[in-house]
Amino acid sequence: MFDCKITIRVNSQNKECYEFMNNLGIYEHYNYDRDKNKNINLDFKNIKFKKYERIEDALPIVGKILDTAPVKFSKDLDGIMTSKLGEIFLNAFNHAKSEIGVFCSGYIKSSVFYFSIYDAGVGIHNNVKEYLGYDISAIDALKWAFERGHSTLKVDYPRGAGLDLFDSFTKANNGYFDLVSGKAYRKMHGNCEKYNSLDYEFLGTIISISIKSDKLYEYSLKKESED
Amino acid sequence: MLSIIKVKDISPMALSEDSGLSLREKISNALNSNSDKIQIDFDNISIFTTMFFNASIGYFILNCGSEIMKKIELINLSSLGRETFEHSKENAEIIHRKKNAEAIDNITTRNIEEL
Repeated sequence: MFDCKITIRVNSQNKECYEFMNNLGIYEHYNYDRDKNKNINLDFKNIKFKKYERIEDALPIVGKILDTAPVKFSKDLDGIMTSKLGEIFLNAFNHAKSEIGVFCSGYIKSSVFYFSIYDAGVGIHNNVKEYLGYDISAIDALKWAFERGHSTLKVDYPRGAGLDLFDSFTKANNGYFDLVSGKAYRKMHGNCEKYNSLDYEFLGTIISISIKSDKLYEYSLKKESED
Repeated sequence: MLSIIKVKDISPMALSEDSGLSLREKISNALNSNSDKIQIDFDNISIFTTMFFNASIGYFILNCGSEIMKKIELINLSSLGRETFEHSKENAEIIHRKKNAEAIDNITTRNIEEL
């Protein structure tokens, strides 16, 4: 067995990238000193990211995260969150073409629900370029992927609604939804959406979300009253 | 003739592509057996994804248009399930319209070339 190690080199002057990594909880975990701009060695054995081969194994993690919340959520919220996060899980499992699987982690801290999914796959930019058959910038590829009805998978049924649905859910809850893939970065907070390019390429795709648990509580109450 | 399909007989969750494809096969069989109405029962199903609906009902909307929903009725579907289905349906309708527009474009281009 190989002891897998990753080195993350982050330029602290790249504020957005720094914030993104910080939101994942990685800096806090390693007590990173932001002023020293140093390399961080992350060992998979020590970090909370866990590898999943099948979506059925990955989904129960959502219930476990909700169980750690300081307030008791209804069973319905478990279904809502599992369904919504299932959309991005499926996206990662189906698009990544990752040989090492999909990793995810999540927790609730100060009444905020955090969740991250990472795949070391080919990335959105490469997938979109290959699908379209012509060159396109990393940012344009990301914009293309978020458009409704767009998907790089060639199947005989309609595709491309999952990310869009998850987007709507995050907007409805005034949450954060960040995505980094290759050299492009998409940041979404509530209804505000921003795209940027990165100086260095990120291997694969990472999605990170955060939503305040009181918003989730309101959302689940609304759904329960609709039923 | 009414055909009833219980989703829980296929899978405990309306989640994966495989479950969606199994449902599609059952719908297809019901349509081939000349059912006037197909009821899809989501009783006891609480987890839904667009992929499940895309691979199952979305396939028929893409190929036959929304008219197919006059034959298919979804029952015992929670508001979350309804929201997920509606999202998948709208997506399928967009792609269906695009597909039709492309087909018309191709015919028009061919006709112009033949002139």
